[in-house]
Amino acid sequence: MELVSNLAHGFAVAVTPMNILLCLIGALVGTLIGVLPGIGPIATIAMLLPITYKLDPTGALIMLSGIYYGAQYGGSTTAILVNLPGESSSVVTAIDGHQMAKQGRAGAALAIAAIGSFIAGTFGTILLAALGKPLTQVAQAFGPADYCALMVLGLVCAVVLASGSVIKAIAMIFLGLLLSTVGTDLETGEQRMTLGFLPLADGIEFVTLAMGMFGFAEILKNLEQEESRDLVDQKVTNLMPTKEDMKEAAPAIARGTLLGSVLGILPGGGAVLAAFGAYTLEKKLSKTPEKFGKGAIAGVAGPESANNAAAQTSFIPLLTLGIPPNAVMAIMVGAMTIHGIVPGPQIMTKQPDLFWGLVASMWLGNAMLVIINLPLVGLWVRLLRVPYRMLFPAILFFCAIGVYSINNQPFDVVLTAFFGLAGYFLLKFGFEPAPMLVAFVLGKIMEEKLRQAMLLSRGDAWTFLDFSKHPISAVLMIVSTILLVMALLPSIRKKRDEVFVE
Amino acid sequence: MPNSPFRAQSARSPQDIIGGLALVAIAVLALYLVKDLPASSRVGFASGTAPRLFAYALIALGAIVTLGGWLKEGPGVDRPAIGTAILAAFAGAVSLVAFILIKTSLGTVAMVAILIALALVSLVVLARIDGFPNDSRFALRSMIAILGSVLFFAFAIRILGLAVTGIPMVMLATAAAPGYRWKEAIAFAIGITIFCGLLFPFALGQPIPLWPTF
Repeated sequence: MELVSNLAHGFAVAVTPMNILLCLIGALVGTLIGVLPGIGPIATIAMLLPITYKLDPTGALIMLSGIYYGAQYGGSTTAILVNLPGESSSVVTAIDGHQMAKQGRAGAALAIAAIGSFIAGTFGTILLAALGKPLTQVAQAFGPADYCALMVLGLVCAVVLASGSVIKAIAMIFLGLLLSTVGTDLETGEQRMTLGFLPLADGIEFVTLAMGMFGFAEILKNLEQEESRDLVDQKVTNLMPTKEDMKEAAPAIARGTLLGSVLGILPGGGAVLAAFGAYTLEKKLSKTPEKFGKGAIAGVAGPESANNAAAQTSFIPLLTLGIPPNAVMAIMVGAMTIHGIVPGPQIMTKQPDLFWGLVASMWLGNAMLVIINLPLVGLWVRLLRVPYRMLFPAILFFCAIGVYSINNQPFDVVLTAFFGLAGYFLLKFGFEPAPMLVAFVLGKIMEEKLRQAMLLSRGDAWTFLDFSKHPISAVLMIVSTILLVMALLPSIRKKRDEVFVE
Repeated sequence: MPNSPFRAQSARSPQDIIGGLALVAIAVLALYLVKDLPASSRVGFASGTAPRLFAYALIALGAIVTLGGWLKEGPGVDRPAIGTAILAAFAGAVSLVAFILIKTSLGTVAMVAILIALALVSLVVLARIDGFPNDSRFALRSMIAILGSVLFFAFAIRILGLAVTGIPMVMLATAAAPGYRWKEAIAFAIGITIFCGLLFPFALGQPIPLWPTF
């Protein structure tokens, strides 16, 4: 069994004291920001990027990944106890989880969320290990045209799965692509759209865009509302769910895990969509749908399993194909680039330590998170008493230091403020920033591959649809077209909107 | 006035119309900026090809969004919000140019002095006027405090260092929430600055300046 020996190798990498410590730090920080509303994994990973400079790439990625899946655990605590999503992916957990807490079953809800997340995390990690090798081999057969088509498919999926207007999501994709072309041209060295700013010659620093759009814009938006927290003020007792609870939750965990795993791999999906999808599925399948919204345990188990499974499997396209399926993975590309790693199929062949070490650390991290979240839940609850008016200045200060440290460049901080303003208005005008961020990251690779493909075909744009020369590209392009047309059809769009309304 | 006769004639979704037009404007600006780059070459793509392609697509999509805003009922946009947008963008651009001018003509010390004065003035104004508008229509208060404090950090960090930049920055940022408490803000700003001053330059070894350099 090659898989077993590979995993054994991975564990050997992951259980060095340093890497265990980094995994624990990642899981702790992830839980922390998951618990605290108003700060998400994107801003946090961006903030901590400069800190990882001194670490080796494997350790750095172990820690940063821990933040993402750790946030899925932490988010449910706030959702259940405060009726506020600590993380956007636990919005639906709040519906039934908080009702359970009000009925004095907070302990059972928290435990089911953690158990479901752990099972889902384990499954997602195994899937990542199992799919890694075959997908990598597939990817190695890809030429520039095929790569380009794959990225088109990724962007189309990001549009299809984004909430809100399809046209606006497509517009955001092209805005992201346009922004990615700012900077020095790779082939000719010409300056493109730099407005004469020297720091822009290297292109727009990814972190400034991510931090501005997701960190600062969120703060501006959060400050619009008065703060109110409906904290269930009771000692959380009875952490063990009853047998009936387990019986009711088990199938929901299984379904949530499977649905989350699939939605995590799909571009544009990720943890948020997985949680929404799982909740809708559970409600549809339930014999007692009227219980949903009044403390149904399946309404906690399904979404919580789904969001963690998706958090895990969204690493699959990133590590095997080099394509970030969502905004968090997009920032992981940024992290990899800083450490000189090019995401893609070559990771597994050239850096097996990194790939298998990361996979093994994910399982370790999930195990740690159960311990961090269940017995220590009182500690996290106490953290929720920190008011937002003290939280956001600290976040802002950390962010400013983080952005400055990337290139020691004050201009980057100014740029972040600008993107914060821009992001705030995108939110105000009903545009979603997430597809733009994914497009921005893919844009640079895409233009490169596009140019290579055009060079090989001597300027013939139809090469992407040429079955005899590029069958993979042709199939991917056709699938993308079908998906896009379907998303634009009114009847399907209606169904899609329904999923997001619930 | 959802059913008034004027409603049918006026734009139905101002949000989409303005948003769409803004996209078109961004794309046109991009086209203007790449006008000197070659649009195509014999081997297909040149340096100016991709930006042009993306910009043309953005113009088309912006037009569709605008058109959709005319045809479909949708959420409106409050005039104050648009006013704030223009004001903030304008103020940002003016202050950027002003600071570069001041720094080159009067020197760094003058720039720092003006910076601190500006930060203090906005802080006092925000702290004094508790009813300063900050609802969903007119988030001027957060704009000044949040974006102002970040810009302050950007301009001051190299000259004043983390230890001196941090305190006024955090104090100004805190003013984004209504109901300013001076004592709490000062204590909090000093505390968090000490924490970051120990964490980033020492514990993490970041090459970030800690003390003033003049």
